Amino acid sequence: MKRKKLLKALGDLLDRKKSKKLKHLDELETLLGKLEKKKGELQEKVAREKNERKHERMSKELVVVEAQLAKGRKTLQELKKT
Amino acid sequence: MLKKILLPTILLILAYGFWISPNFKAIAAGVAIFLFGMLSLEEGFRAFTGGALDRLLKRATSSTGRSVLFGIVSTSVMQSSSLVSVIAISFLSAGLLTLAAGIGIIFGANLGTTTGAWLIAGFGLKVNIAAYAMPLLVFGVILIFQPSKALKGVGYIFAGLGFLFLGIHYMKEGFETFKETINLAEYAVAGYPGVLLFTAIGIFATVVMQSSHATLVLTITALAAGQITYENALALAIGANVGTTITAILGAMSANEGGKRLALAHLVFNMVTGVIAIAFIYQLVDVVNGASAMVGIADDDYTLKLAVFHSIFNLLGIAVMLPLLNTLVVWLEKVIPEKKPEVDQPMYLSESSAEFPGTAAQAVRLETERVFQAALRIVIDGLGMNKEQVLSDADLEQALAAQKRIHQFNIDAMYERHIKGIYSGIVAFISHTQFSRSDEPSTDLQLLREANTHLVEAVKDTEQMQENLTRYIGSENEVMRGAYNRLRLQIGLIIRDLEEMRAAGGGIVDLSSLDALKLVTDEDRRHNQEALGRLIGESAVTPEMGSSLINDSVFAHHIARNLIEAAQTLFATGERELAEAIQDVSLDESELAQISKRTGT
Repeated sequence: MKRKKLLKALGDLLDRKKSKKLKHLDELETLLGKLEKKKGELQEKVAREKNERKHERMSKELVVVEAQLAKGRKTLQELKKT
Repeated sequence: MLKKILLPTILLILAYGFWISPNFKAIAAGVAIFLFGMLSLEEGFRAFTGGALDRLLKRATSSTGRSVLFGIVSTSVMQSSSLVSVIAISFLSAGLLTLAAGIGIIFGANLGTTTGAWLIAGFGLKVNIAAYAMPLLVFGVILIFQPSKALKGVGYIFAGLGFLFLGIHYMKEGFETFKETINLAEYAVAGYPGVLLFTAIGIFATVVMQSSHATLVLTITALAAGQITYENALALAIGANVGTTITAILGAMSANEGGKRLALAHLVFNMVTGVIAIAFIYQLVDVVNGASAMVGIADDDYTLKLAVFHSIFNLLGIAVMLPLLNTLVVWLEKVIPEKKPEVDQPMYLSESSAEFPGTAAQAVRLETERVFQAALRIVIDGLGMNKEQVLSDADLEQALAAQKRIHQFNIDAMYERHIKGIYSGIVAFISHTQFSRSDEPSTDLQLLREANTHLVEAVKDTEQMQENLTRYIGSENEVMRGAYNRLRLQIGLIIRDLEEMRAAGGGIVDLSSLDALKLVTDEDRRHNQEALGRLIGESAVTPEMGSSLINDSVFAHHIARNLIEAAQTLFATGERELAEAIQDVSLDESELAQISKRTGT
């Protein structure tokens, strides 16, 4: 079993296309993680911010981050399917 | 170091002088007003560059003979060779005259000024130019506030002349005490020592009184009263002729190289003429006697003979110097070379940085950051905003509303100076970098080139907005002032946010922030359009004002968008290892539009 796993990993490594896809998936997951973190930070900041203009801009940014997250998750799912 | 201490030292000396002597205060104020007049005069002449004055001057100074004639006539009319000299310097500084034509005018002005001696000696008259100062200032200032460029130009010329006259008036008034205390009879000396001594006195008196006419008045009065000998009076006239160049030298202090060359030409001409007159003074006396006898001047009418002498020695100077005009021009251009304007050049683009894709991209990035900073500065200044206020937490809306006028900032000149050199360098560098069409860094280079294009477009759009903005911010129309202040505020706040992001360090964090800023600009544009629709509907603005506002709100949107696009390349591509994933999550224009619609902004 261990040998099978090792051979699969080696095969994945040698398969350039697959390796690239894995790297892409990895990057996207990292990015989505960062965006999640940013979303949390922004939510906290929005709740705290007293300056009307800054509050408004942060709220907009939060909407953008949510849209980016949704788009990223969709892409991630599609990549995993293929 | 010397430069740092020079200004405070001068200011301290001036302050001390003002404290101890009212005369000194008047003289210093006179010099300041005089120099201000020069600047105003130049501004006025610039308004006519390429227009009617250009053509008139070209006709009047198309040959050396015509230039000399122009100098003679204008000085005879204005009764001030100093004024004609400074006007010629202004013409030259504004590019309306060639150096040779300017020198011709100076030669003519020296002959024209001798009519003053004729007037003083023959009729006891003198045109008092100071009397014209007040009306000229009043007319000038009224015309400056007119919208027509031509009237504005005439206004600046009038005000400039008014200030020149007023400046000379204050200087003279300040030196009035000197004039009263100079007793020429005490210095009567015979022979060449007397000639040299009185020439020096003539120079000194003219320098301090800022007027060869004043020296001539003193000389003629002293001669008529028998305080000085005829010979000494001639030397005083020579000295006055040399001393009068100080006015042109003062005037050239605020002029460009062309103006400085002309002031030097004036000094050279008057010095050469003075040396010739001193060297051949006794031969000239014989010529004056002969000429005076021919025109019927009595042998003992020394005052009129002094006027004849004044004219003859200046005529002699022209006869000697005119054939040397071209040599003089070449010499002046060599002595005072034209300074090329300081233009910012690339600092990081070099052959070694072009060796590798990574270093090439980094070098271009650093240069682009310089262009970014310069563009932000130009946009801020071009829209009449204060950098400190824009880049701090200050209430920008209030600060902009408090501004009643903005200065016309020369965007084109600033672009040429701070951006063009670097931008051209970047474009050439990318074009010559061999790997620019192949592997990964070429994408970076292309993006950076596009970022530069965005920045240049932001600057050009600011220039497009500037004219209307300056007009309406300075107008009494509160509606238009408010509308233009809103446009400035929107751009100012975008710049503030961009700078905050840059200071925060860049990276993926900015990707959503910049997309959010794009949403803000789109929202601003929509609000502007709605507000404008209301204003037109309520007839609060005229159709002309409305069309200006429509165009300028589009320019304002372009400025903000171009700055954000440039920032996106500069700040949001930091995490190169996530570049592909960033592309996956980035929102395109239609997605942003959908969000904007959904959130109802």
